[in-house]
Amino acid sequence: MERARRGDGDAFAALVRANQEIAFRTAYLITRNAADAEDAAQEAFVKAYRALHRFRRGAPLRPWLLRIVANEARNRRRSAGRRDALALRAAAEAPSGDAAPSPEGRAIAADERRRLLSLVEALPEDQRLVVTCRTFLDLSEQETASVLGVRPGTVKSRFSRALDRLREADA
Amino acid sequence: MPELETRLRALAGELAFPDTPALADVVALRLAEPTPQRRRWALRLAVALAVLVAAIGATLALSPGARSAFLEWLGIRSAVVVRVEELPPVTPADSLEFLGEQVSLEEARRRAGFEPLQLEGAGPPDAVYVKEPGMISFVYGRDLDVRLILSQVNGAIDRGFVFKKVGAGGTLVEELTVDGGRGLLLTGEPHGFAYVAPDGSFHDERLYLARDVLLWERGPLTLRLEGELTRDEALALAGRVG
Repeated sequence: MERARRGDGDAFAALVRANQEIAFRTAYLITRNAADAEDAAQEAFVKAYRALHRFRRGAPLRPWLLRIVANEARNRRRSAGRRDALALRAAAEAPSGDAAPSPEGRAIAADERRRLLSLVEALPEDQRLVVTCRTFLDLSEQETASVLGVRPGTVKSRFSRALDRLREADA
Repeated sequence: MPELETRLRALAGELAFPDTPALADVVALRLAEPTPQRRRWALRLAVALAVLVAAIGATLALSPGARSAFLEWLGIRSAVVVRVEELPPVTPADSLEFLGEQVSLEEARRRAGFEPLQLEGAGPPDAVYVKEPGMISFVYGRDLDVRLILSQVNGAIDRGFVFKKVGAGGTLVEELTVDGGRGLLLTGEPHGFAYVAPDGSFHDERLYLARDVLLWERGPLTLRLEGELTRDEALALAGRVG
């Protein structure tokens, strides 16, 4: 980080590589469009580099970086374009291994996953984002707060309300 | 962990996210390009900071937080500029939350209890913040692209005060007339700020970014404009606040 701050391009490239997946996926959850997410993540890294002199020494990088990513993603989301729905990987539809269930069991498990995902997708956007950031991306409360532009306490309460709503719908 | 949360986290590994693109090379290419020239303020101003301008109290009582000797102060109704021997390290804050709460313009009017002046020709601000007991800030741009911040406080407020702290060396403080009212222009080295809250507590705030600042009076209000502005640009902008 210090080397990147001093203008070391290789150090910043390493920082990009280490964070590009979480940056891209965060942007994707907001834009729901892979091309927009890539643009947003790329622009965010460029802006982050140019603002590194303002980054507080010793502060965690990810919340700061993800806030920039989220802002770029929101800017792109405003434009018209196709929006993807989250889907399961094909492999997740048919788990394998020694403990593989029967064909009927696999179908039920896949149905349950799809149903749970559809319940998440049906949440209001503010709740859906907090759930997807906290569970699908495994972001901390602080990181999620940065993405959403709210306080960590708001993340906590919003996440709790979203889980309550999912439990109710899942019952 | 609650069962539902466990199921959701388990689902994470089974999602069909698009493949993550390799960004390092393209970012490196982008960074090798010349930085675009800054356009005029209305098109693209540099990152700016809003600093609280609140009411001045009857007494300027430097607290222990002001760690160096008081050397000089210049005041306009609701703000005090303090020159000290040594300025603590100026560290950017990581958000604009210190401006208060982001609200609608209507809510800002209601809470602050006054009608804020508008910056003619700039269009609606990208965000409006309000901070008790009565400061309204218009933010133009977002986060790292914040270009300009205009803060206003009703000079009638008499609880607490704010003072800008400037180092003895680098920051220039110029007294001038802005549209017929008194003004102060702070330029040069970064400057900090602190304030004494109505309850008497001292707050030494981190900065989003320290940039040139114009403070001036307009009627009952004290206004503060911050951005990467030349002296003439700042004065021209101040003339468009009405």
